[in-house]
Amino acid sequence: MTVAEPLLPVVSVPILGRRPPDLAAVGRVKAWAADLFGLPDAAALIVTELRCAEAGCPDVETVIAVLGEPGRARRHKLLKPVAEVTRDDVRSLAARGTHG
Amino acid sequence: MPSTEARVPVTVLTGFLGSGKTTLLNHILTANHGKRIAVIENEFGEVGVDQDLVINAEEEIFEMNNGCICCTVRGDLIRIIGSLMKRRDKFDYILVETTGMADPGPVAQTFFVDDEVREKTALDGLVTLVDAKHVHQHWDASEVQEQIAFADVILLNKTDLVTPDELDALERKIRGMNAAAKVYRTRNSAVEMDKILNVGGFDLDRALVTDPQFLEPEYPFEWGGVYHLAAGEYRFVCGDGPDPAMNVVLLRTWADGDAGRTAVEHQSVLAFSSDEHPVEPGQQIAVGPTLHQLQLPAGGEKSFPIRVPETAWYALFTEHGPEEFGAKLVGEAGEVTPTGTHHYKPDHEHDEEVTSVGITLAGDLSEKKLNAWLSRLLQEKGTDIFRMKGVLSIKGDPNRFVFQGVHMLFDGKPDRPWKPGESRGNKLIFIGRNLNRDELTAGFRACLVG
Repeated sequence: MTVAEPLLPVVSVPILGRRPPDLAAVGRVKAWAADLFGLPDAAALIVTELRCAEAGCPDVETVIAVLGEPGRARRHKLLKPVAEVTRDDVRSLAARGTHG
Repeated sequence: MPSTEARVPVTVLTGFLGSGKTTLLNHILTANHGKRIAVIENEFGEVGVDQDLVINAEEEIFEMNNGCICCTVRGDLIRIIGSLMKRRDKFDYILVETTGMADPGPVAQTFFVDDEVREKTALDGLVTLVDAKHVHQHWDASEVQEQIAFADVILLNKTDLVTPDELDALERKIRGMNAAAKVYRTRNSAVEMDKILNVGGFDLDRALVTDPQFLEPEYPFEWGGVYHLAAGEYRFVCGDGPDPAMNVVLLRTWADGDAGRTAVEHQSVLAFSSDEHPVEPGQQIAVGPTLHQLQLPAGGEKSFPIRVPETAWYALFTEHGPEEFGAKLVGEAGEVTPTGTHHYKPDHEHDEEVTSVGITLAGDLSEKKLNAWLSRLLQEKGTDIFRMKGVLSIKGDPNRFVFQGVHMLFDGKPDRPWKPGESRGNKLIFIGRNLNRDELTAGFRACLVG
């Protein structure tokens, strides 16, 4: 069993009436991330849209995380719904390095 | 493209080494149920069936935390499921076998954490095998507690190696921890497929109908029974048991069976909250609302005389199950058999940290208040709450709302509409450790509208 380094803080709190995920958008973001982060395939990715009920939190954020050994794992948050994430957004994450 | 295919049901199989997991896995793979199952297994080379959809997993735990919320997932499972989905037409079912020491939390959370996995799979049930003979040796291990707490189905296996009384006691202990799971007794892991596959563990209608005791309030006594006694002398006889003392109350009642017992249940609860009166062997147990603390020093049979003033029905309530002491009521003609006996859900499982709290409340909830309460609850207690399931009535929503959660991860969706004439209400269950029933109930109640 390997334990990877912890990923970025992710707030995952319940919001009732949550809509089903936009699979087309999720698939798109995964494909861009696989390409721009240089991953062999999208299977090592987690993409999820979260709604945060904490004060000071944006309403919706998209989390993109790459699984992997320490050094390869990365995690990012974009403060927008997954449907609004663009390829350029993902490219800017790739430039940012493993966190942020 | 959004998938219009049905979600793949997933069963997760846990259980300590030696509990019979491999045998069960082989049953599942060889039984003629017509399902094509993709198996993700952890213990190498043990599955004796040639299957091209058997995938070996290497457990990879990923932790996602920010101090408030901590969520761990199985990274390897995310990858494997991603790859499997490319061969979606080749299987109808996924079975994940975990290692003996697995904490089921990360496995279950894995199916909630990625949006695609959440949409394409449907976690059907967590099945836990328990070796009825040997589980006591590991009972305190947190993995054992969690495997029982997380389960939708618990198989008490190797029943041929223990006595019926031991089995009854084990099952009661387990139900005290997890009131929502279905418990089955098995030998050699033999069980019908429909009890472990397609169990609807995450289908709340099915899940919440599981155990009539599920929403039973907790009583301070574990057993009650009714005796029809002619006036005269009797003895309550006890052998050695798990405690050096046991509280009992003996009350006059006015009916036989369950009716006679339930008629005086409330009186008994009151008596059990009064002061204990220690009673040595040889001393009387009196009829009436006195809490007798029977002293039971080890070393053989202990006898407590009872003088019955008049012929009537009498209800006896005992702190522990009488079978734990081999206890019985004996009259001049021999042992007297009780009617209307009932084992209550115990509230005194101090050695069990894991418990279930079930809440039922009529009325509608304010969505805003509920969100705020749940968020706070999960942030503060998320690691202690293993699973939550519920059916809720939200004000203004014509549909029932069903939800389920694993630790801080939460998935809810609208269910069928409330039917005309159906009374709108809420049912939820929390399974976890250090749960405060009063706090949870008060917090939930405060979310009701007006």
